[in-house]
Amino acid sequence: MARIIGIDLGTSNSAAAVVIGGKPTIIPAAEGVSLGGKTVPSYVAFTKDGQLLVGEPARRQMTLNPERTITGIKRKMGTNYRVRIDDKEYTPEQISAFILQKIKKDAEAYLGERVEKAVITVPAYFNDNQRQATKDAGRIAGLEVVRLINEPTAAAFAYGLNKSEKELKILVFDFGGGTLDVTIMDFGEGVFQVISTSGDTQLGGRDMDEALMNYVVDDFKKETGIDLSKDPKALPRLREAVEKAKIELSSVLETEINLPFIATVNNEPKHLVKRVTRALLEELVKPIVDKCRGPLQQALEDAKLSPNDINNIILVGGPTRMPIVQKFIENFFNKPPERGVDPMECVAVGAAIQAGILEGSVKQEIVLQDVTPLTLGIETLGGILTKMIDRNSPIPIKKTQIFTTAADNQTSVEIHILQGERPLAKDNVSLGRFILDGIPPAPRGIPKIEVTYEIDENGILHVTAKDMATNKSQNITVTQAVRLSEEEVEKMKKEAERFSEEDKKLKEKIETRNLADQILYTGRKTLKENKDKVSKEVVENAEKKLDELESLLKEDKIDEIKKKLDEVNEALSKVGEEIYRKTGTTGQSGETKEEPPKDENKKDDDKGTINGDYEVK
Amino acid sequence: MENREEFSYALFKLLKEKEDEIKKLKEEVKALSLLIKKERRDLEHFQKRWKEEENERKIKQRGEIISSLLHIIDSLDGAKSKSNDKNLIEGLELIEKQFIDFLKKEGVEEVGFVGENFDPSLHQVISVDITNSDENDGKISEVYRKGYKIKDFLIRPAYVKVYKKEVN
Repeated sequence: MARIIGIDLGTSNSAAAVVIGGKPTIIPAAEGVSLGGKTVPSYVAFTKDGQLLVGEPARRQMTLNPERTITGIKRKMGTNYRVRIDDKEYTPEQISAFILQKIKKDAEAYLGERVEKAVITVPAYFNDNQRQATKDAGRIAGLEVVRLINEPTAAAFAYGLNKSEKELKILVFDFGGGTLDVTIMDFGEGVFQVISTSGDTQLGGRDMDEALMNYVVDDFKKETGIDLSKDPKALPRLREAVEKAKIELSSVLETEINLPFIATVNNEPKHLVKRVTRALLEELVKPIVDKCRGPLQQALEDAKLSPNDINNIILVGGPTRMPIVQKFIENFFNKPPERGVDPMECVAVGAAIQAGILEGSVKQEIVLQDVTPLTLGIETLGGILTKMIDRNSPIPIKKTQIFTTAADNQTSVEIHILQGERPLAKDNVSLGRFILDGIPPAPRGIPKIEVTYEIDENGILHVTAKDMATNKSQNITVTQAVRLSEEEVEKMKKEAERFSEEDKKLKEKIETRNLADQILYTGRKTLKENKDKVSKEVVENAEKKLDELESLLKEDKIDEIKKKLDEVNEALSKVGEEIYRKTGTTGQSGETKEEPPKDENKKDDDKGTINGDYEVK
Repeated sequence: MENREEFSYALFKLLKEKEDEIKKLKEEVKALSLLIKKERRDLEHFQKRWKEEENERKIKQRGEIISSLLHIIDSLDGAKSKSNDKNLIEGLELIEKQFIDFLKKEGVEEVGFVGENFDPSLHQVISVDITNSDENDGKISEVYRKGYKIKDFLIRPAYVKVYKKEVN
């Protein structure tokens, strides 16, 4: 069982997590814990002598070497953008791959085993190109991307919302260092679906840091006339102190920025001592928080929802730790956001949970992301749809069933692939059909045709039919099997409900006919083979009943067929009794009781095509 | 006696059902035993790792405590450089020395010295000093804030100014 890690490949920071002992755990970066926490800055740099730096070291040398340092490459994924460094060109995929490679290496060091598979998160609004590019980046880094999941979906996983049995409307408020992403999702029957996305690419926590920083700098300037923002020695000290104060103010109401000897005026040392209250900080950042209102309203409007319709609110990103942000959200929606998972780690944690489910170390009954919206089936005798893959099955999935022929010496079968919920083949969507021929002539029910339906992770259906005697097989690939639009799916489900009574009757009718046909066939066969072992009257009675059944079948009198079947069974059981009495054996074998596909050689109303309905489940 | 066909069909159906059930259970057992194997491997790995890293963990913990004391040394440094009083500076230097001795005893090393080659694993560039000299290129020209490490664990990087030769 190969280990799969979850990766949050972010614009400015990336993080990875893995399920250990059933619990998602953040994989620490090899550089250890810095102020930024366990995450890896999404920076890649090449030194002048061609050395590759990734993560924290790359970020630290940015100012010295900006022309060979790359950040924010995620914004270029899936485009033709190229990074030119000295004489070499790199694609965005290659640059992302360097980050992934580092994460892979750190994970291997942490876990003490090779890591070759990953679940990677992408923004909900990523298009196919951007998604493909992310997959390619993984491949370049030596990681098989077993699944891409949307960042908001991962966040919902981190809070266990995927286990909900209720339908949910979830809003994910992802407030990062430099961008705000708002996503509204619908969750139901194990599937997350994005309804709307909105955001602001120029709004983030960095603006908040700047607000407090500017305030302190201005204040100091007013008092002393010194502009600390111009002092490279003072600035980093100040920045650190401001950051510390900001973090502290999330848990206390008041703190102090204390920087003695920060500057000199006319040879006189100056100290910066400033009490900062939460109220002050909140006043400073309020304009930034207020700017979040627009994207929130936009997302709700696009989703045609009101704040009260939202069941769960998930906060992602460091700035959402600030009480003012939480309060703002709580007031906006009139309910508190989910709590308990570090908003900086929540996407990586969710990716790891998804990875854990895929590798089997997290038990989970509810299906994941992609499911087949409708049942996939095969047309069998009498025009019935026999289910191969039930609707809402998670994909990828593979199902195999054995079928047989409906007539003696039938040498070919038709495989008719159907999609839909109606019991009768004709009421469903036909996805394709093909013929498997070259079946050696044999009595009906003897040949074994193995039919396999397989939907790969891309939603492509592969159908294979194989004659188990000759190993001859035929297959077909259906690409649009699960690509029906939402409305189409809904319409088909509704139809299925509306017609369910009618359909049930029809199906029963066909099944009765099939059963009658099967009994006719086997009954006559038994009589023919055992004539000498059974008394004349018993044989004649059975033959008579069988003939009666046959004529009823021709007239298609279902209710009478049902009654007649009982009589036939009684007559045949007498035959059986006598055979046993005579021989003391259990009689013939080799009869496979399996569901026959519709015989393509003969048409529907031909009595020869009707066979017993023995479904293999 | 029942109709043989029906009877054998019923038997067949039952058998098939049971077979399927057994198959399903077998698969479940297989998956679970694989999971147990994996969990056990993990447990062993992390137990071993926990032991091996005990020392490292102690160092890190010490590093974290020390890191929160470091701004005192920054203030002392600031006081030293911003003062004109020779006696005061001397006194401050003595306090600083006490502090540095304590750090040394704890196994903490200073990182970031003028003239040293810039190393992104230890230093953070705050600004750049343009130079014409090939020799100075990539060397630290000024240390804004000292960095510290304890064994291989970087408590905090040094903030530095680095020489850079402009290529035109």
